[in-house]
Amino acid sequence: MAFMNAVTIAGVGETEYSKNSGRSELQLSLEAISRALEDAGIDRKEVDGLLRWSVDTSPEATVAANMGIQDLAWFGEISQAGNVGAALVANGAAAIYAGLANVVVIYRGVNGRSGRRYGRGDVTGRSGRGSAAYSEPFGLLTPQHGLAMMARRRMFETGATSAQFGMVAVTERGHANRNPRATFYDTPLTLEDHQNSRLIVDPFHLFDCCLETDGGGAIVLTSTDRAKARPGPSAMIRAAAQGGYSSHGFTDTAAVALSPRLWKQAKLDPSEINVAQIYDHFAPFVVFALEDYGFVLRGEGGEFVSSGEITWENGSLPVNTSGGHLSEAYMQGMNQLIESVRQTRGESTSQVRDAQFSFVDTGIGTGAVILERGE
Amino acid sequence: MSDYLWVRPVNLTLPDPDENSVEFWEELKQGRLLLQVCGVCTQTNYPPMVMCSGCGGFDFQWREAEGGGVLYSYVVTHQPIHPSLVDYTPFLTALIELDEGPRITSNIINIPPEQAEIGMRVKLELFQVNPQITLPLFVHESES
Repeated sequence: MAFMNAVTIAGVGETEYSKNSGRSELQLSLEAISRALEDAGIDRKEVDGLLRWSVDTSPEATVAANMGIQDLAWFGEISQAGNVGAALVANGAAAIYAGLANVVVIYRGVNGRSGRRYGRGDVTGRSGRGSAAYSEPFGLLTPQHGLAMMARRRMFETGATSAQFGMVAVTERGHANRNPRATFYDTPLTLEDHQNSRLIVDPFHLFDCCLETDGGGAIVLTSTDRAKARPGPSAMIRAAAQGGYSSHGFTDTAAVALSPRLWKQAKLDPSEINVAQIYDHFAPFVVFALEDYGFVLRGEGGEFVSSGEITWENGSLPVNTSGGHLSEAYMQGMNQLIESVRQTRGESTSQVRDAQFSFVDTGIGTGAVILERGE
Repeated sequence: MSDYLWVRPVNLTLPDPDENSVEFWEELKQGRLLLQVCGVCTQTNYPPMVMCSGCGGFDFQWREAEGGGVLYSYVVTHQPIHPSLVDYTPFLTALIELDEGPRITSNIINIPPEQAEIGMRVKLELFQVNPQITLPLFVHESES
């Protein structure tokens, strides 16, 4: 059996979220790491593992040098895009469980608004090389183009509507309006605002799309025994699993393959989850994730959202309780991992009462983490 | 049939053929859209693969597509999120399911984006961009 609660996310840290941080991505990461270690009560000299997104620009060696780490025993980055947060947690937890590292820090520092903007085709494009030769010349130039193509077909097959996606955005905005750290803390959003917002890549409206954010975030993993030094409730890693894209149907997210493996590892059923953070680079993918992870049946996700089931505090499964990527910040899943830890500790600004099991999807079903509240 | 004709953005990305795809793009210039057929298990691929995901083979043959298909999904780009798209939006990008089975990303050039409808019949129409590159584009076939 995998690491079932033997590893804990002992600390979390983040910088402010803004449109112009005024400092380097490396500095954003180091500030977040410092706060996460302070939160965990662990000295930086104890860190012997560093993990990052492959799209992150701060190499582990540079981070280690700045931290004064003497013996870096476990490091690396996981490739693809923003969607590897859960894979990093699984990797770090496995290393600790296997005895290959004692304290692993996962970090993300990005100037996503003032620096490289992921929404720009000239940033994300591959100039027609490799497999892109068969997509970019026809106008599929950004990640959202391919995802919009899938979303359109899934709307056709399941009857999901743009208004239902709009209710994802409205719900998350409501949560952000309770979270002073959120980019859209002061700005409400109505369904009418969403439906009237301009089309970016139809079927995606402006308010279906995530923010572009400057900021840093970090989490600290260590053994559950070591983590007990920190007082109060904790975030034990009940399960963490990585998934992939290969060989599933065009309208399936990778969760169709991952989901049975995840729930088996966790020894849980979706109905036992109290609160969820779901990767919302685009709002429709909250609906699709609810269906593909088995929280609801395929075709029922839109109605589940519209009827208030993902809304704090009376919904049966509040989702993206800090405002998510749509309304808090787009940190490629890091801010959602942090919010998930807050929920198990009882520290969220939209706290789900007695949250025991906290779920995180870190992107199109390609990875998920389930945290359990430890006392 | 309307007189609509899509104007392809002049600076929109073009294919950059490599050793695995140069034959495919050369054949397009000669007027043939090639599908890759596994010589062992006959699985048909588009785009071409390096190894057959069905049987693991490396022995492929080409088969010319008949050119017919149906619209499987589509997007309409409104925001010019690439410098080449300025002054060329909105435009339609289509995912077409060919009668042979594989799906191909392309453009339907004879209907305005708002007339796209999943399930509509389309037919291949080759479009020579320059002497080096011909693209497989499509036109909507009216019922009559």
